[in-house]
Amino acid sequence: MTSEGASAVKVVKERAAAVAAYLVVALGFYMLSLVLPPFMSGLRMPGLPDPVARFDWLFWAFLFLLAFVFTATAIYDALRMLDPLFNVLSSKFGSAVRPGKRIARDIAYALFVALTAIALAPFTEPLGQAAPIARALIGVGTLLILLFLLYDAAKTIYAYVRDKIEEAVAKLVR
Amino acid sequence: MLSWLGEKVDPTKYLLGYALVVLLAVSEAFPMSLSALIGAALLVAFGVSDGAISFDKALSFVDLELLALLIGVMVVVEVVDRCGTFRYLALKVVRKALRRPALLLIATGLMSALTSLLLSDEAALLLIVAILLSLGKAGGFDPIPLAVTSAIMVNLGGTGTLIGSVPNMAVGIKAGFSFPEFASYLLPCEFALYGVTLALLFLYYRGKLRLGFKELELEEIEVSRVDVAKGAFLLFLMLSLLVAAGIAEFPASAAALASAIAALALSGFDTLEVFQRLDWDTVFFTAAFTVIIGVLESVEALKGLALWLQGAAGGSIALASFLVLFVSGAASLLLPNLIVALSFIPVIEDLPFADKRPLWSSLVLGSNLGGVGLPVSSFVIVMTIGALRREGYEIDPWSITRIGIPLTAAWLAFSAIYLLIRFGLL
Repeated sequence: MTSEGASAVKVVKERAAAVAAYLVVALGFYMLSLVLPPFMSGLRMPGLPDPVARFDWLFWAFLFLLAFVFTATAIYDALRMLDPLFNVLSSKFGSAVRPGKRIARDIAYALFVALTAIALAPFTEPLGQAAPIARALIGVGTLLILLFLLYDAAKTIYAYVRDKIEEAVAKLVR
Repeated sequence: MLSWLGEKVDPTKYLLGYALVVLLAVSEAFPMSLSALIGAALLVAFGVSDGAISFDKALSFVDLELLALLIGVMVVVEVVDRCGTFRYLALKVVRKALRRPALLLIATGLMSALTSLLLSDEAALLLIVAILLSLGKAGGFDPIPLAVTSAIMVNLGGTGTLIGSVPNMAVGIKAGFSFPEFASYLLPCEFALYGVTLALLFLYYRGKLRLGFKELELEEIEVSRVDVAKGAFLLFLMLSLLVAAGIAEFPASAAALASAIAALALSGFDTLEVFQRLDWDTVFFTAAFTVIIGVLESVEALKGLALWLQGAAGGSIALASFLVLFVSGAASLLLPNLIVALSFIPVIEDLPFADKRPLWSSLVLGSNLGGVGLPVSSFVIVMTIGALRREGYEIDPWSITRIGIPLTAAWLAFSAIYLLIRFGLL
């Protein structure tokens, strides 16, 4: 395995462990949000409307928010797990390219995958009863690849815009 | 669903397939040929499954006459290049003009344009810029103005002859122009544009053209004079056969193939080595893209553009010619000019004018002249910048755009006036 491949595997292992840990913590807080708030039912803050006056609701919102934040962190880490895969893929399709070209390529590949699925669909007819299954497989496969490519395009756009904003802010501060 | 098509086939997915090819080519995801082959495969699959075409019909869209002309010219030019004829002539001309800056700029420009009449733009540019850079090192002068002039003139060169560029071959064959006929419509415009361009470039660069020559140590011209003469003869033979084809009314492709066979037989070079050096990317791209255009025509997907042009022109051939000129010129700013030319061919075929010579000429001019406006639109500009940077010369890509955009506008405006006069459109 190349050093690039080895470091990719290391990143995936680290992030997978983090995703599992964050999900467990998120689940824990969610369970607590179901169990603990009823113990506070009946307690109210005077002069405020529902639901913010109810202590059980406030406690539930606090625990749910924590669960939400840890879930979001787990999702973010799960997406980061895909980054090494994108890097390996983009090195397969040519070395690092400018953001504009990378986005154009992602859109081109997405269009290619979608059109290939459309072109293949009629040729499943001779499969008889298996045709709907074949079409479903093509559809699901296409959707997964599209999501993968669109995520990469979105990530590239985000990184590009963020860098530009940071540059502009740095200039303004100077 | 696009409405002009009627009830038969929805052309949306066909147009998306066309857009895919453009996107793959522009983003350089794959080589041009593979991008077009992917698009052709998809469009043929759509056409067959929709019952719009058969596979045999799809194969018949490959324009064999165009491919024969293209391959024939490529073989001859490769053989002549191997003979060293172009390099010998280029070095001779530059040496003659070396001590007079204005003359050197004009000689460089003309040599670049004339070389690209026969060689591909990239090969012509590599040849000239390599000579300029070696002279720049030896003579201690700034090669940037001359290299930029060369890139611009290489782009301009080849507009006026049937074999000057692949778009010319594609348009010329569809229009049924012979070699002399094509030259009679477009070569005067090309020569006039040489004058306009060189005058503008001289005005722009005149302050930067001071040469500080010491005793020059120019590289020796290491080519056999016999080979140079052989190459010149083979070029002369091809041009003569192409002119004869026009007069005797036999296909230019036959003349090009005969010239290629003669070149291979007489040169003594290894035939397989010559074949390996041909630009197969362009050959396969052209073949695949003609299939794409054939399928789009079958499902009438390009009819919308033809109808728009027809409506906008309102029956005026002059207005239609201007629209073709400026729209194809603008499109060539962003897209490879072969894509633009091949895409416009069926559109012009659909237009209801009896005499389409002004329209074909407009397409040749528009697709050839839009190439230097932006760094992204022209591979020769990118190559020039790369070659200069490799030798340690710093050049801002947008400095070329500042010249390229006004020049492109001037070329297109001049071409519009030329078309008015040449075809009596007033």
